[in-house]
Amino acid sequence: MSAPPAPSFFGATGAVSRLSLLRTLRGRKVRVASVAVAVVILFPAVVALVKEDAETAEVVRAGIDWGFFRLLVFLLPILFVSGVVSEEVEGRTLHYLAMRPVPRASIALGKYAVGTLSALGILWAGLLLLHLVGFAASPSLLVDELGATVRAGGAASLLLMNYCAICLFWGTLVPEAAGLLSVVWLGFIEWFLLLLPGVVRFVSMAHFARELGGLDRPGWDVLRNPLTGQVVVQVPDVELWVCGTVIGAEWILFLGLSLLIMQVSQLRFGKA
Amino acid sequence: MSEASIRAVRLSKWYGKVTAVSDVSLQLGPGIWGLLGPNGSGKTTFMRLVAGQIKPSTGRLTVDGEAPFANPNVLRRVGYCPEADSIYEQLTGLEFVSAMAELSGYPPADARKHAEVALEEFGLTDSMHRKMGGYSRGMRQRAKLAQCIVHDPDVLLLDEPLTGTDPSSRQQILDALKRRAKEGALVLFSTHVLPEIEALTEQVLLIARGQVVAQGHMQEIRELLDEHPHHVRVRCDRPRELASALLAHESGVVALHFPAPDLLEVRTWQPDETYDAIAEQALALDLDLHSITSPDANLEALFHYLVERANRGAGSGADAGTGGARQLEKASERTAYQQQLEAGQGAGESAGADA
Repeated sequence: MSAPPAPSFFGATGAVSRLSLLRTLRGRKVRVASVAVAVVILFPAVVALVKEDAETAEVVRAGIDWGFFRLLVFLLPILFVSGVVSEEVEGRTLHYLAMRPVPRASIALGKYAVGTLSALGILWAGLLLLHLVGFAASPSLLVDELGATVRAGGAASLLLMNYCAICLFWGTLVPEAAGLLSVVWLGFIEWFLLLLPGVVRFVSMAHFARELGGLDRPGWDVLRNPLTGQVVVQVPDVELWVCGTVIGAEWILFLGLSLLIMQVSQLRFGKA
Repeated sequence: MSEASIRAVRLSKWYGKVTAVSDVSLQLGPGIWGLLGPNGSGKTTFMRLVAGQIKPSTGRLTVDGEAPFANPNVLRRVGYCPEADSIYEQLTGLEFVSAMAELSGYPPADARKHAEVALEEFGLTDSMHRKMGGYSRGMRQRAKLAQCIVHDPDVLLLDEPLTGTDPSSRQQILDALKRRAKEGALVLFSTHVLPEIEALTEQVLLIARGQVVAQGHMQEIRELLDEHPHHVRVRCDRPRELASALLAHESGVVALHFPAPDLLEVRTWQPDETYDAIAEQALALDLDLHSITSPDANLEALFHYLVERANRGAGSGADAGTGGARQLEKASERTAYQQQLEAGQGAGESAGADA
């Protein structure tokens, strides 16, 4: 008997990533996500093409805001990451991975990496396509607005990585209901609280990401007394570096918790 | 490198109120071991404990001298073929086994070579480039076995590995496992089908309701099957007359029950003689005989019997008879062996030698 030495953490993560990538590319997720992106960019792209130059930039930015920051950054993590553990548990294939001499955390990390990179790839492809099609009729704006698009894309990417970690967290903690819990968390904490006034909004990472991306504040940004017109509650301004740090810290927290849960849990093997 | 071994001391595992494995003590060394038990007896849970997928609730378990749960140092020496007929359908056989080889520690190029060898060992060379979604059940089973041996492990845990295989692939699998055992591997092979074990090994563990109720050689299990009291049910118009006649007859009858007005249940040590006597008396009494059945002509009955015996305790003496005496002997030997294990004196000996 001559079993090889156990792989290193990163070697194992790489091997899990290669396996997950093969499965992702041959599965339906990429096709579903591509259709979602196409639908999201179609409307603003068409509208931008028929508008005057001055209004084109506004239409593209609205497309980025509604299509990417309010829809795709929520949809793609749920599609690509929330099910990475549950699909193995329900498909009873997790045995094959958990039986290997690798830290279980590397299994979660490899799957997270592939899910997140797939989501990021599709997000950026959609974003650049919207930029190209939206500004196709005005070449000067194509160049001038590129910085704003890239800035928004960077902020959306950071937010997406964070949401993927949140989905992974629920996937490792409660594989049977990972999708539902991810939707509830992202829908309430991230989407709904983003619209509220005051510091409550700081609970939502989407708020910080929008600040980073240079987008307008949605919802009740400022509440005024209807009689006097005086400002009652206002969302405080925060430095951009603080915005990035807060999102990064939450990302590390959820990713770390996910890896820890994966490492120590029995992964529902007792239930099969 | 130390010899392949599995050692359990008072091992238990429960899920909520359900006890899956209860107070199991054993020690296994190299060779092929059959883990025989009816469905739901705890075979899979025991396998998963040994495979390090779940933690014991109480007791100690070591594989090659170390606790297996999520322990890479143990897992690199263990191969596990799960019972579930589940596989990555989008991947080809070669991609699947190569990925498992990579995860076992081989660099990608070597992993592919080892995967090809493992697939060849189970006769999948021709179909290794096909997606596994199109594999038959037997081919899936062989792909699962190939991933189990691809990293050349010392300990092979095979949960019902012959399910769905045809006779030729069954032979291929049996040959491969025998080869591995000859090379020094410990093969623990679970099934609820007695002939599957007989084709592969003489060393058997009988598990029922989470307990190892007997362990030893196949011949002993066969003897137990012959010796445990059989039940025969006779449905006829005058069961009480038949019962009287059977009691007067030397047919090994030890107990009689009347669960229904037209039903006689006979408990006997000599089933063949009892069947003959029933037929003879039915003719002599001119009975209107509706049916003669045996509810327990299988292993489950033996397991049930052994568990009952274990529950009653070795020294109760409640069940007289040859088979009963033999069981008492076995139970006391097992208890002594268990004590030895708990005292840490059983290392290096195989359970089969003691049972």
